[in-house]
Amino acid sequence: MELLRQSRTKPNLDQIRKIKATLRQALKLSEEDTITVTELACLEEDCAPLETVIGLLRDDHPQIQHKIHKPTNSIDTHDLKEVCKAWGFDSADMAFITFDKET
Amino acid sequence: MNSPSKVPVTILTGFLGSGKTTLLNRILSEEHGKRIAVIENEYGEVGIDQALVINADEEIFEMSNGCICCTVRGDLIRVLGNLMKRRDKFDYILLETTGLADPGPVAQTFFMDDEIASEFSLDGIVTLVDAHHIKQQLGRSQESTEQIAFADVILLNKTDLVKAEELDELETRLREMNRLARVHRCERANVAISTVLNLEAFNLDQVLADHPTFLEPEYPFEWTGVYALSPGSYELSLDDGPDPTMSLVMLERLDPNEEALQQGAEWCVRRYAEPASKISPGNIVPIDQHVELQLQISGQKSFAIEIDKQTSLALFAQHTAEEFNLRLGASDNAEVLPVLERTWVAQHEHDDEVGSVAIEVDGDVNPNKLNAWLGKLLREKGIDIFRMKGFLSIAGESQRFVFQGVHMLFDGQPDRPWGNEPRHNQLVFIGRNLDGNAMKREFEACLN
Repeated sequence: MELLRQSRTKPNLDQIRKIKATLRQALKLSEEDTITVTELACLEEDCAPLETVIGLLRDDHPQIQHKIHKPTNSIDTHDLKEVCKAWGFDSADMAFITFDKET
Repeated sequence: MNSPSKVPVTILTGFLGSGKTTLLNRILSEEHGKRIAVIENEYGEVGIDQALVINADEEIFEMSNGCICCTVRGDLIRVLGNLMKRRDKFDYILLETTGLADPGPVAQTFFMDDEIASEFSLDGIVTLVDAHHIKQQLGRSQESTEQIAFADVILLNKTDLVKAEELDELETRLREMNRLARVHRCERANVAISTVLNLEAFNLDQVLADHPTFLEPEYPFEWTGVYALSPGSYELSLDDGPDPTMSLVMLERLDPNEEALQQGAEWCVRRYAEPASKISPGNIVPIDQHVELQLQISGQKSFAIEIDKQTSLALFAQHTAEEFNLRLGASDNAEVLPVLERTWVAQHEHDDEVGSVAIEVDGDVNPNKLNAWLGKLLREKGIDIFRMKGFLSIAGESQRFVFQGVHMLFDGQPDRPWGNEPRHNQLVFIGRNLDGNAMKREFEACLN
């Protein structure tokens, strides 16, 4: 539980935009579809201190979300593939994901 | 906490017919030089120049990850996402909610998506209240109660339809529910634009400048007078006042200075918690005891006070001296004037389950203890905490840490350096059924 730390180390905006762009491209989302990326300090003592919740909002679809047990700045290609898998997208789509947080 | 690069957002909320659209039109038609984007979902488009109007269907997005349950407005996320692409077209956002909207999800939306949080800052929540109908609405609708609880500014509108004494009563009730909010009375939503825009309402310093006694504890007494007395008999006289009885605790040997007064006040709070002895006119008032003066008979009522040695006597009275024209007379009938007087923030009976808790403590907090306490508090009571704001003195940090939050969402950042200012902590919570005493105790346990 790291409420104070989370507040002092804001996630990198470029990283957030890159996560959104990568998922948008991989999942072939339209301009109208919305992805949310939120870093949260978990309130449970036995959870990872910071985690990232990624949500997908589309017209005529139920809203879906997936939680990654790490801070936004540490998310990598594998994590985004996991998100797509959890959301039930084709593995063929996932093959297109290339996400390197360092670039 | 507004960063100049962020677009300020004002949320307009209030029940149907409370005057939101009138206020909106008033703001848009005034010459304020701002280019305002309006997000609204209750009425059709309002065709006003210089404003972008975007309609949003209500769409609730449950964001639950096991630890934090948070409801945001999916529709609003989309609209804000689209607005981000047109940032050069406006410099302020007005968001009008539907009359039945729960303000929680709307406010939480500005804390949820990190990109949105970086582009927009919630400047304030303005709640319009129909003075004529709010009494019925508060009793029947949870939304109207929450709209009051979430507000930074309450506009008590349509005051021309209600009698002055009813308005006073209503304003007192609203203030008890939300002690943080500024209340303005108006007709036809006619208020200065500066009362609703650019409030920086999440800045507690500003709130405290408006309400200097906000963080003072409440006491069961409203007034204290300290009298320097020689041995002898005295007469305490009271005229007719607002109550048929008045509680009183008299404390001897209290030095007439602020520090002694504070210590005396704390001691008297404990005496006030004890059952009171009823004292009828003509009888002696015992010292160091909680008494209830019986004031039912009309006209002047007198009580005896016996002093056996030179002392300073402090009267901690339930009401102000002014309300009962309280006077102390010596045996020669000469009036004795207090050498020191003090009025206190009085405790109120809270009829509504929604209320405010203020904590003010000197010293540094241990960050680990604070994290643990806040985590537990938000986990267990987050649903009932509508708003929180304040600043903290964190051990080892040279800057104040300012924070704000909505329900379980907590956001904070370092603010200005403490410098030579005494380090202290101020926290304010508005919520439902909050145990203020327990929260204060638990926070104090986080101090180093």
